[in-house]
Amino acid sequence: MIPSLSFYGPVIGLSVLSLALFALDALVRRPAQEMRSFGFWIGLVGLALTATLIPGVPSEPQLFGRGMLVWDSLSYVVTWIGLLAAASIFLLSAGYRGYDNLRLAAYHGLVVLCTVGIVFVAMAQDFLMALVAIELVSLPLVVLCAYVRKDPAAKQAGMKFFLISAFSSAMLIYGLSILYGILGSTSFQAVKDGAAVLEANRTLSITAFLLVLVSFGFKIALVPFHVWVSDVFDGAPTPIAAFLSVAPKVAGAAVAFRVFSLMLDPGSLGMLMVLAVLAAVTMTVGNLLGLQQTNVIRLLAYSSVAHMGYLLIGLVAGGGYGLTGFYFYAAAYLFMNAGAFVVVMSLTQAMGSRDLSAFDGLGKRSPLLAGLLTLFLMSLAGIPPLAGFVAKFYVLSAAYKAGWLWLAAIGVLNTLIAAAYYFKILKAMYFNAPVQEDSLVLDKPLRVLLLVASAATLVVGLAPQTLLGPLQRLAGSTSVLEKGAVMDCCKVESAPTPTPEEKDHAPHEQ
Amino acid sequence: MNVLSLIIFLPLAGALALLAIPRENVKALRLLALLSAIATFAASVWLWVQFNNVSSDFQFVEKYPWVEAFGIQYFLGVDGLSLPMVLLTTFLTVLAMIGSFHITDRVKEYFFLLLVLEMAMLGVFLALDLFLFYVFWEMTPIPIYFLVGMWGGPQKNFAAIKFFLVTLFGSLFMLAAILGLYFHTTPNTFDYTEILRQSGAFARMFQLVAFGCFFIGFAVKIPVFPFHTWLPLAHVEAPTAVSTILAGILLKIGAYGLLRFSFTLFPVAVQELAVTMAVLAVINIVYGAFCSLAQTDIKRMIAYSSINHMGYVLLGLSALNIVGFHGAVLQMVNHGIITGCLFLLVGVLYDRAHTRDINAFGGLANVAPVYTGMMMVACFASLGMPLLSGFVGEFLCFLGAFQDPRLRVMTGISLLGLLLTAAFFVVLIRRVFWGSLPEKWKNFRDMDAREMMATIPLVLAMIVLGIYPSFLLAPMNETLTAILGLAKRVIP
Repeated sequence: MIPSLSFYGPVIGLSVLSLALFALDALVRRPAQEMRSFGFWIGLVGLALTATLIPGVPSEPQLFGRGMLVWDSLSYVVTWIGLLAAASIFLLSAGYRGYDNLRLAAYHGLVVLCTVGIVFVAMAQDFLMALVAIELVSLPLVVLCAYVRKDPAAKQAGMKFFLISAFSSAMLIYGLSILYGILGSTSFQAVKDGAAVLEANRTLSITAFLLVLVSFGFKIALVPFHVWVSDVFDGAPTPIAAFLSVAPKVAGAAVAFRVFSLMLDPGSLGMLMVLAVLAAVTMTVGNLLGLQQTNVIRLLAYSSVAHMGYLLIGLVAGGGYGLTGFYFYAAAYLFMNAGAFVVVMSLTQAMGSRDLSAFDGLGKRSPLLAGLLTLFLMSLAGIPPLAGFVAKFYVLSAAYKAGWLWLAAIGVLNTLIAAAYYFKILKAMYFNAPVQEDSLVLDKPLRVLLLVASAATLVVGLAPQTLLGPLQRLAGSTSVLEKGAVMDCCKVESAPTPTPEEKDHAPHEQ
Repeated sequence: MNVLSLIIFLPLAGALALLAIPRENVKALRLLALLSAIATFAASVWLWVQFNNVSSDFQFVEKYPWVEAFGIQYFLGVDGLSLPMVLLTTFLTVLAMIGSFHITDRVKEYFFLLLVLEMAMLGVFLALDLFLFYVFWEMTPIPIYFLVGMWGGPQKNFAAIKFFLVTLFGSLFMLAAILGLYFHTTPNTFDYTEILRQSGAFARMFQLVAFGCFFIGFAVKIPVFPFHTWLPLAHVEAPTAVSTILAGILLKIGAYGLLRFSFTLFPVAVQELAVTMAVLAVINIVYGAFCSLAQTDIKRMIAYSSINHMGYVLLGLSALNIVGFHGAVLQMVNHGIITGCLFLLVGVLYDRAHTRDINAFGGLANVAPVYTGMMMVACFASLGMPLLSGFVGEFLCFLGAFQDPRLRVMTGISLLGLLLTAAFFVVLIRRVFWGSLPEKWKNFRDMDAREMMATIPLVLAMIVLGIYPSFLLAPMNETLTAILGLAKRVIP
């Protein structure tokens, strides 16, 4: 039995870190360059320390915080992804020219604050909790999008992101207020226990869940709620675009997974079918839009839209299989996307252009960098033997096994469209003549990130068992034993007096 | 000793070693690439010597768990079907290396990609786990994409991406079928031998769908009409040595896969669809020949003749008898040798004249007797002249198909293709080598030592295989008989 206080470990660690960074920004008067490296190092060390606070995964999901939070493999994996994404964004930011002459201590604090939100989202076991957590993710992101105040595009990106998140939160509130009317509770458990009640109020329930889904749809940028993505990615600082493409989306998908796959009976209300259609449309439209792009950042934005479609396949497939696929896909995407962003960011800022033509002849100018970007793009396209291929293979086979044949087929065919636009970059790099001859030099933090990302992409592709084995065990503990947690939770919900579990927790909380 | 792994990964080791050599040192790069290819060839010859001809089982089997979560294994084995393909691959790659020595632009990348390509192709021929097979299969188009796109002709960009997307399109169908097989077995497995053991229980409908998906994947590579559109473009735009490998080896992986997996795992579908395949084969033969006849670009002509020749292979396979099978596999090897040689020879011509237009030449026999002789042997072998290797394979394909009463008419029609093939090769020889020599080719150099080194082994192989084909047939016999038995299984 893990003491309940330890489940707060990552949240407390991150909060302290972020407050420390804000305090640093407010109290210390030093030149911008120094503040930037203070923020970088304190942030990185803080994240590493917080990582040691992440509790292990219990054999069955553990409820805490009066049943509003849960610690299981989903929370565990998403917490890790949040931390790793934050760390990779620190490395990426260290090499971003757009931040030169800015005091970045508070910037790092904001990223950490956003990560706190991500951890909360991953742990939420209650709609209200989820709402607050999602706000905690979104608000720092609004500031981060507009962090380069003098850049009108960044301001616009921040504004767009703010309006979209406000709108989608409103949808979530509307949906959950209807759900509260039906179930008399905002807990996710109530969704599970109240299956009969939901079925009895079918139309109303479907309306409520659709509203919730639309809200999540905006957060995860599912088609047709994706229109903000390319503008925000293009306007925001590139490191923030990289962060946006992974961590908040995975967290949003995780809470969707919890609600629609683990809690809501998969067969009821036809929500799974809605999700399946959304996944199919998201992949296809995301990829088709990517095909049209010549702005590489926008291209990566649409690629992230398409990848969320694949992630959703894991959700639709459900069960231990789908959950493992979800984890694996998220992890693989984190690394290959980070790697691709390193090269794209360095090149676009060196060339001062985000057009595809900036990549012309990179294969001649910097063979190593071009080779690595090739690796990441092929992994994103799902070509063996790289991490992206195994990830796609896993979610598609999960869909196949769960009987979603048509969804798997669309997923397979989408690989083709995706390959077509990732290969446009390869074509520019290798087949076109270079405009400039000088080779591209990367800062040290970027090189570190590149090394880690490429190693992960290769190792996970060549020896998938290294990641797959542990993830499978994790997923098993959540999906198979979910029923056990339901029983515990019912007691929490129904009994006004403290349950044995709560009594257990009491001493630690003092 | 894991000789199969050694064969597969020797080229990769060579490729990685290339990375350590500075790019200015072109000589060392070439030498190292050639040495890795020769070492791989030597290892495959050793394999041939050690190979047991009287067994239809997989030999030199290597089996290790790879991804336990999926039951995926690193499972390799060689039998009488894969052995000739492995030999063809390693042999042609050595010659392609020699034929690439005139490349001066980005030499390091070029040989790196060529060696990675060799590794992927060898992996395709030796993998017996379907997942592993797919991984190698999907790795083959990538080096080719770069090789065509970086060192190709004027339309290289389009040729490269079209080739890649069309083959990926086919592969995805195959991936779907492989997933289907995985979930149709208990316990779920990608192990070919295990799937084969359970294949008796596959329902007719499942067999048809899975066979269809596999067929699309393989048909793109063979290529079977209507999936052939990438071929003329890619073959023509590719640099000489890459055309050699494309035509010589890559087209074979489709036919190999068909015989190895589709024919053995889905007997019901094979028997039902044999006639359909024969129809496609006839279209390939006749259509390919007509297209060839219409070309004035020599390289394009040979590219289309590949469509025609791979039609013979498909015809022999769809005969579903041992004669046809022998013919098909022999034709696969022969086509690799002959067309590989033809592309190298056309490369020789293009390097000197910078044109491949058939009408631009004439009377070259007067100034380049060695070149003329080589070209004539290769052309005659290709059109099926007896005592040269092309004849044996084609003859057996026709003989096999003719034995099946359902295919008689089609065999008759495809003889027309044979006639047309003869016609366009004779036209080619007449226009280029006979007649009066135009003024501008007065100083046409005959072949130099390097070019001869790349082509003479192939010409010798044509003659040897034409006179004494049975040394290649011997190792194949048991395996092909076993495959035939599996393909003709009657499932209650």
